[in-house]
Amino acid sequence: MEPAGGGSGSWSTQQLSEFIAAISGASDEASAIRGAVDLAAGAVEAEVGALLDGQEVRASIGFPRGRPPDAATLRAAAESGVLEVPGAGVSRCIAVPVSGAGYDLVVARSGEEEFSREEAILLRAMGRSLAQTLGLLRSVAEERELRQRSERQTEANYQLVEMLRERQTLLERLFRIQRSISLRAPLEEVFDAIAAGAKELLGDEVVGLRLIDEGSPDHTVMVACAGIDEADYEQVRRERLSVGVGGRAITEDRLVVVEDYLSAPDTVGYFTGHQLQAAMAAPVHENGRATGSLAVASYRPGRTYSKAEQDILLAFAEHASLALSDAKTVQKMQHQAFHDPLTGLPNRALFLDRLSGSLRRARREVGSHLAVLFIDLDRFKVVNDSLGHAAGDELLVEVGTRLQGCIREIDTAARLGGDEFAVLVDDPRDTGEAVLLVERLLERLRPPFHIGGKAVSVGAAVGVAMATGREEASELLRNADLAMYRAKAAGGGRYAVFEPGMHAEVLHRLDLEGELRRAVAEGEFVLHYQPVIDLVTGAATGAEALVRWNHPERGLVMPADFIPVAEETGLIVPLGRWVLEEAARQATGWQHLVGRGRRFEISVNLSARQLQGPDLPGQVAASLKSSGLDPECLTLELTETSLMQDTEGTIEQLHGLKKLGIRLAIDDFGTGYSSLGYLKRFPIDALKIDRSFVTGIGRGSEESALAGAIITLAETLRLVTVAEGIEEVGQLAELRRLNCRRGQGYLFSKPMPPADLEDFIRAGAARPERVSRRTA
Amino acid sequence: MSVLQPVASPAPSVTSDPQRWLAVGRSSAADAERAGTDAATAALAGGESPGLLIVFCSDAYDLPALLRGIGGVAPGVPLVGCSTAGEIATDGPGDAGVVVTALGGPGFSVATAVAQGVSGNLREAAAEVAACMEAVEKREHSILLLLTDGLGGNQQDVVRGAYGTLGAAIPLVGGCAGDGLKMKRTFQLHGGEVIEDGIVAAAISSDGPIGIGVRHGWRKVGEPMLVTGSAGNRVNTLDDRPALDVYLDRLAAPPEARTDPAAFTRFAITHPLGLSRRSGEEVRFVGEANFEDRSLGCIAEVPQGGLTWFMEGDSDSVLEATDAACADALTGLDGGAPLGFLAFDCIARRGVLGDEGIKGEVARIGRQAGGAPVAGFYTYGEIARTNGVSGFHNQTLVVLALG
Repeated sequence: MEPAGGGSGSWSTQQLSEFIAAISGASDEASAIRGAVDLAAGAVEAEVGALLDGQEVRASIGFPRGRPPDAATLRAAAESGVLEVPGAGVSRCIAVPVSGAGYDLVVARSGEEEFSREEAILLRAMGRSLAQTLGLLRSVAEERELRQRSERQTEANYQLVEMLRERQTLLERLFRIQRSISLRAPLEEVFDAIAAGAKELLGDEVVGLRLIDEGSPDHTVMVACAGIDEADYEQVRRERLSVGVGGRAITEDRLVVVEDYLSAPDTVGYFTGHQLQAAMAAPVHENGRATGSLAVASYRPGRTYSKAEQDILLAFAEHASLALSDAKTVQKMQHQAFHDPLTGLPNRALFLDRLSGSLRRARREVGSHLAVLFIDLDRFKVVNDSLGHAAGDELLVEVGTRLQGCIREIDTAARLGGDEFAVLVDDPRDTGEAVLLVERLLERLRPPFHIGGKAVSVGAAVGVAMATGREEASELLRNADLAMYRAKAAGGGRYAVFEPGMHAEVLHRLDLEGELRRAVAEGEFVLHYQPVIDLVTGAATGAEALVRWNHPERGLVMPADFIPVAEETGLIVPLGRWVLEEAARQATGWQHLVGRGRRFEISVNLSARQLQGPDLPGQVAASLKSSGLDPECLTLELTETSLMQDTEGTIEQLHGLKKLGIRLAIDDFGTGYSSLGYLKRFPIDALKIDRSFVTGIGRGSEESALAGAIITLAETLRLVTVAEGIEEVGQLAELRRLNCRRGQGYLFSKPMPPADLEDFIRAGAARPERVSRRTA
Repeated sequence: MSVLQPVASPAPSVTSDPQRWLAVGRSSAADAERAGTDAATAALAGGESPGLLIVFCSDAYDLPALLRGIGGVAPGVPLVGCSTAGEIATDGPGDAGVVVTALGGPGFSVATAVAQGVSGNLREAAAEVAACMEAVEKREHSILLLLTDGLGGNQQDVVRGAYGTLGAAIPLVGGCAGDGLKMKRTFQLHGGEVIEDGIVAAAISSDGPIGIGVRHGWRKVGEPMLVTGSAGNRVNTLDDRPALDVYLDRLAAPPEARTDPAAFTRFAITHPLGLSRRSGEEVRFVGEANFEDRSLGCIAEVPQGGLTWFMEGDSDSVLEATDAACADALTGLDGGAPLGFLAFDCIARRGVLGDEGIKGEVARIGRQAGGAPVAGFYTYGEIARTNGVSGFHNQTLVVLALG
């Protein structure tokens, strides 16, 4: 076989980039899988290929009549390296994981020739990119399903409104009633309005709304009526539940229609005495339970009730139900002021109240203990963001149930808010017993939750604080919170017991935060620059601006020590703005150092928070204007993660930036989602290949294959590639072989102060082939 | 798409004929019916109990009349065929004629199938026609012959579809029909029917061995280009520029090829594109250009994201490939003499050799056949799958030797 020539690597790199381009264009999982099997088998000239999903063969090619052997046989063949293929004889067989998706891709080729290392790497890389595509397709499918569901709901609502529109008068009445319900008018007023509305619309002489007497549940009490003389009211106010259409509507929980009242059983004596002719009653519900009825009645002979009239009565009764349920809900709000409505657990206020009581008691009783657990779920935000708030709520309810399930009756579990829970462990023997409970609790939270048909795993970090007898309730809870913070920092899924030293850590952090605020206000930051090198000519094409904190006592502080705090506190926004302005200003001054007709490009990192800020394009435009920097000299670098948040808003923001004429690059490409499908949606100019790929690069490594594919695809999408973290000559050689355009790293230069960078540019302009010589 | 029921060959009658025979007849009569009658009569003289007729003919004929002529002398004999860009027979290449191959005898079993209106679902259609293999008697050797419309979609899907049904055990051979380089519409023949946008298949099982040779004789030249925009067979951009402009400029195409579609096709047949593959290069025939959107149309897929090269060939390299393909096909016969050769020869190779050159080429094929009859045609794409899942070729000579 002759080599494919050119700069973009071997035939296998070609095959991989063609594979990725084809697969990432698939519109559904089935076609992605089928295409992947065809292309993978084709690429290594195999006779057969198959994709295994557990015991199932999801797709195959090359087996007679499209009937492959079962998955177990294919797995065993891959294990032994040999498969007997009908018509092709004894064949070499290999399987690679489609990582993440849980599938395996199997191919077999006739003859003696083993799969080479290059071929195995190619197939593994294909498996990896198929997994990525399938992940993307699944989230797209879920999103589509969600959208369709909401469209169906809209359709149903529309039909309902259409139907109601035909009953304009009814609707107006009901709206008025609804309005008084929502304004929390006194229940009596609402009931009167319902009675009056029913009377008006149905035209009957008598209307009565009854509720079960809470003090004596076998009786009903009239709470609103029309058409009954005041003098007679006392005669009908209270009735036995078993009597009349109103009582029957409650006990039978259905619409009751009587069109020959006088011969009906169990009538109300008062009405038979007045020769009532016909009546109907509909049940009124309180939170689903029939607790009352709305009745209309007529003295007119021959009165019958049409279906439409029955529906109208039901509609009014429904509104009475609504008003009643709402009123009861208001009553419950007293309760809810101390309970979390979602999980039904005590809330923070009640928890602190009980904790105070327990603390008082513990102080009185010598030798008694008290422990507070502060529980924070890991990965809750991921569930909420990816599956939606309803799923998030469902998960919180489940967590609450599991928590309740593993504490004793005397303990109190509470939801403090968000994904934070707390447990008051009343009188444990010692810390050991409290810790045992924590371990039991972590164990209970470990099995996946089944949310919306999906298995979702969330762990938790737990902080434990033991009462010493001196703390206030809020202080003890805060201690547990601090311990939880430590557990979380250690990686989640663990617990930590509070120690007084933790206060110092927090204080340190608070100090850092305070100092950082001061540093931002007083401008204690400087920029260092790491040159970006054209890997072919060796000339510096630009530099990446990197911020350093010039601390008055501690000297130069590296970003890793303060950027996370800046991100959390929002200080990253003013800091980021300063970096942008300063870098633009300095870069403008360097343009004359490079040759005529050339540009020196400056890259500035943009945080997720800045990207979501309201007027980023405006800020960037202002920096460009004040510095006079040519927009084409400015590149903003974004991380994949920040691009994945609020995608639509992000795309709009990016287009706003592009309109200014600047360039956009994706930083650390390959570490996050790295989906090509997404890449095409963003107006990106460059990809920075993450250092983790560069570190492992070398002829024949999987990293090389993937870096090669990224580079080839970047070319297809017309993106410049910049390799980060180049430290060795061998890495440089391989990147050049793969056709990577630019790079940065210690091999060329560490980040350096502006004055040194100027020297670097000057030296480079004099000797542009510096790199070629060093690596020759 | 419609798929007709496979037609099985009539049960062999007891004769004193040899076990298997193959014979070729040709006619260049102007009258279609007469040409059909003459060519079929000559082919049928080869033996008794004909099992299959394979017809390669000019698209200029009144094809229903041609089939009437053949049917008149060979009623009920299964027939597959297609229009061509030139026919090949033992006595040399020719245009505007018809070549009929007959094979028969109790040593062969044949079934045929057809699908029509297939360009939207080539893979499924090919999978269905390939099922006609189930209708033939089981013999030691089998092969599926496919004749398709190369102007209708990615023909690799035809190979994938047929392969999906038959698996690795059954080789596939054949070619894409031609229309004398007009690149407008081609025809497929099945029984008495003339169809377009179709696939016809003949499943052949035989007591005798079968050999297949596949060679092209092209090599890469110059720097590669990146396929920056393509969809299936259409190449939109190369190195980010309109594909047609890159193609014309880098090859310094003559002025007439820049405006006239026919001149473009004449130029393009000797200037194919190449793709890099595990065991060498695959060649892509550039069939036509869209002068409006500046894209190129190929006969098989050119994947986006890959590299492509210009390929060149000359008389020597093309004729070397001819000898090698014939020799490879004969290897499959284990030293036995062939009953005959079927050749599917790309129109591009004809372009390189010229009209005189192809006479020499067919004579070479005849010599390699050792006097056995030869039939074939100039194709718009060739099919030969013997190993792996791929098997659609361009600019290639496929030789099938029946032993």
